[in-house]
Amino acid sequence: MLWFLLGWSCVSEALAQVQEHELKAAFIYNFISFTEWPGKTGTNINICTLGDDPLNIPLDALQKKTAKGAAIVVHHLYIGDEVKDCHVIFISDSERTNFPKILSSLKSIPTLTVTDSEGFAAQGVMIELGLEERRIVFKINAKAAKEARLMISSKLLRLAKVVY
Amino acid sequence: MKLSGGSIDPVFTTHLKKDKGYSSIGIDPIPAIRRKTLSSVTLAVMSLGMNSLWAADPIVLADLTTFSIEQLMEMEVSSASKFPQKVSEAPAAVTIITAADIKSQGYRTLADILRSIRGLYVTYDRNYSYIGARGFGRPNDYNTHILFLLDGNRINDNVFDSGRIGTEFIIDTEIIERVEFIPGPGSAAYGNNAFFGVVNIITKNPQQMDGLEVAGEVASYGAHKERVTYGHQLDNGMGFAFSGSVYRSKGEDQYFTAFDDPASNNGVAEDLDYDRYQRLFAKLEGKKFTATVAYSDRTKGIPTAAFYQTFNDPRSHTLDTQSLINLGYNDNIGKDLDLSARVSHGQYDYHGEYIYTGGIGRDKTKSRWWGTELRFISTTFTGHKLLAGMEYQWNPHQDQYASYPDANTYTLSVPFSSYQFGIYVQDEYRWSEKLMFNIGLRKDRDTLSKTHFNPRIAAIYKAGSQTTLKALYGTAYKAPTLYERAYFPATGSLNSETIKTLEGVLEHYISGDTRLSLSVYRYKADELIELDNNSGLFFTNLGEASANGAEMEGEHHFENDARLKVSYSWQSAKDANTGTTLTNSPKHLAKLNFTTPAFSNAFQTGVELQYTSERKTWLGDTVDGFMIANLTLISARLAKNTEFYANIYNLFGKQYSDPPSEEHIDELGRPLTGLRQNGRNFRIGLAYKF
Repeated sequence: MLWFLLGWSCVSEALAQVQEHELKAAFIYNFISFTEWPGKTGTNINICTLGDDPLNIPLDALQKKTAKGAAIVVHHLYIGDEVKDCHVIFISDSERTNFPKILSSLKSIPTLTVTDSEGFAAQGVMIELGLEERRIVFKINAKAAKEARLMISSKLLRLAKVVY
Repeated sequence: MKLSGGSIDPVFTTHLKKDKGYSSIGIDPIPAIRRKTLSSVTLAVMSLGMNSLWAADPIVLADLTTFSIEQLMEMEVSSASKFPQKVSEAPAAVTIITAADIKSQGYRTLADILRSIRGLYVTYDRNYSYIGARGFGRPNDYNTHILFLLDGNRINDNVFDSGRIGTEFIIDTEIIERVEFIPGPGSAAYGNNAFFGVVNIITKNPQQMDGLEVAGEVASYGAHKERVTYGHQLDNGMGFAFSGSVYRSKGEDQYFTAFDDPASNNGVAEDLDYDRYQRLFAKLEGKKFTATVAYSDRTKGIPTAAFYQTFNDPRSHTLDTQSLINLGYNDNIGKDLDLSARVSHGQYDYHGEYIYTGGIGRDKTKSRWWGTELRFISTTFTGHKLLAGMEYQWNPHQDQYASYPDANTYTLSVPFSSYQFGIYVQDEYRWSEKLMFNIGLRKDRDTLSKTHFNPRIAAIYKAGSQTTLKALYGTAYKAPTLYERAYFPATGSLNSETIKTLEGVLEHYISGDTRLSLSVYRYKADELIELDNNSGLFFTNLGEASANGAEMEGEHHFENDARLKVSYSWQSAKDANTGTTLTNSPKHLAKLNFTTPAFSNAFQTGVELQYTSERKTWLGDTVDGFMIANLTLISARLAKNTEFYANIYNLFGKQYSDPPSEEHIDELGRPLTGLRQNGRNFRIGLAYKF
């Protein structure tokens, strides 16, 4: 039998696997370099999260990184919190019933809104992450970004599955 | 500026839970990326030790942020943490069983996989496994009412129209990426045999089989299996995969009360439950092309003396040999136009040796087919996804031979050839953000030159982002099989079976982690072909039957990556003429699947419970209902590159039987009252990855 021939050692090894949320966080990190905010960016890039989401943890890990020469700072917000100067706000699926109100309160503020809750790019969230054929895809609401005076690079628009 | 958001759901205002459930993603396609990530992850984890895999996550993230967006877009998710949303737009209550489920629940055969799906049940007669759906599991139905597709290619043969799902299935469960079950009539899209549903088996691609893996296992009843799997993906996107396996099982001596007579070895069939197979599989995959080759042969002893044999003769057995070649091509041929084309060739040979006082009776079947399909998908018109296609199958051999015991020539010799043709259209019409229609129509010309029209209409309504409602109307047909038409000479002309169904489906998501699904249905089948044994055996269109039922299913993903799935089906399938419940039709089915990481993630445990209520048999009595439990333990952490697995099937050693069919009668005219199933049994194995 084959398995008698197989060696047995006690060293554990990780599988070459990462998490879906890690990958989504890496997308959000990447979006920063494709976005131009009005005026100067400052010394920090603020990434905010809204609502409780597994993605918050990998986003926390972005804190030590830099983007566009600025240090990334992550803030976790809940409904009712002050919006600090969020360059990017990730809105959790947990807030899906509050989306219209959240979006109207963010209206005309230059914050890149991102979610992975399905169907919300069409309703005004700037970038919607999704899974399709086992890959991460994203939709962009360019109109919403334009209204908030954000410039999303044409390269990112080209890579988007849908542009509204 | 304050965020306003109406009422605050208390659940989401609690503090962040640091261990909130993730699920895994295999990063892959570009080998360079894989190598890079692998080495750094490995280093990180080895230094952190065994129990701190989670701590390694930020390091993985750090790696991911160094990739370009194009590279990130190429990375593939091997199991989605949230539920696939696309399923909620399908015109059916689709069930998907993934490779992770197969592993964590220890499924050895396609039959094991299907048995875990709500509303399905499997009958094993110690030779073949037969599937029952929505209360229809009629004896002598050789899996002809479910269409089986392997990577989209029809694999039901063209003599019995059988899908083979037990050890006789053509590929190993270890190389299955996922199995999709689409319940309900599917003839509007797939033509013949898609009567109660369609099972699509999708094989792993070269990336998913990445590298060389050897595996070996031993199991109860003197069974062992060895497997070698290899997959490699080149930088140019081409990939190659290979898998081969050998399985041997001595089996257990089977005892039959019906044959308990000193003249019949006291009812014990010795050394007749053996089961052996070998399988080969290869796949070549480019960006647009896929070529697949598969082969299997299985030899199984027949302990039941089925078909009036002499009981306990060691020569009684069947051999099923099958092979498939599939070529597929997918391309974007216009701005909004996709083309998919496929050509396939299938071979199936069945050889049975049945033992009688007068000698050996032989059955031989030669089934050969060539199939081709062309399909266009257009998204030119806003709101419409149009699909049109045609399918042609040439059947050069649908030959059946049978000889009486020790006759030199075949008493039955029916060579046959034919073709079948289908043309279909489908429109997925998005009426509004909330309402979608799926309308399909297919015209088929069957092997008897009869024409069939099968429409399907589905309305899918998204009542909010968490709730989907579906109303489905469907039709299907099953043409009489060559076996039904020609094997028993007394059979007259047969009509096609037809079915009309109505179904309502509600799918509801409570947060991203919990899913509920409810279906209610009404099926009405006509012209059902049945085996009549009142005056010699022959097939005839006897039956009209209807079924009403309800199925509910709930699924929850816990924060520690544990998953729970529970389903319950109530079904009432009745003969329309007599009003009595059909044979082999359980009123209740309940299933539970639970997997969880255990011992600081060192192990993955899987628990499965399945309940089937009592079933009527063709003899007029019943076989008892039963509940069985299966337990699986897996660890990839005990040894380097090695995955260890152990299973206990039928954990509580429940004794239970499946209903027999009219064929389960021995030479002395003694019918079996039940087909005894395996008691508690075990399997342990190792898979080593180079």
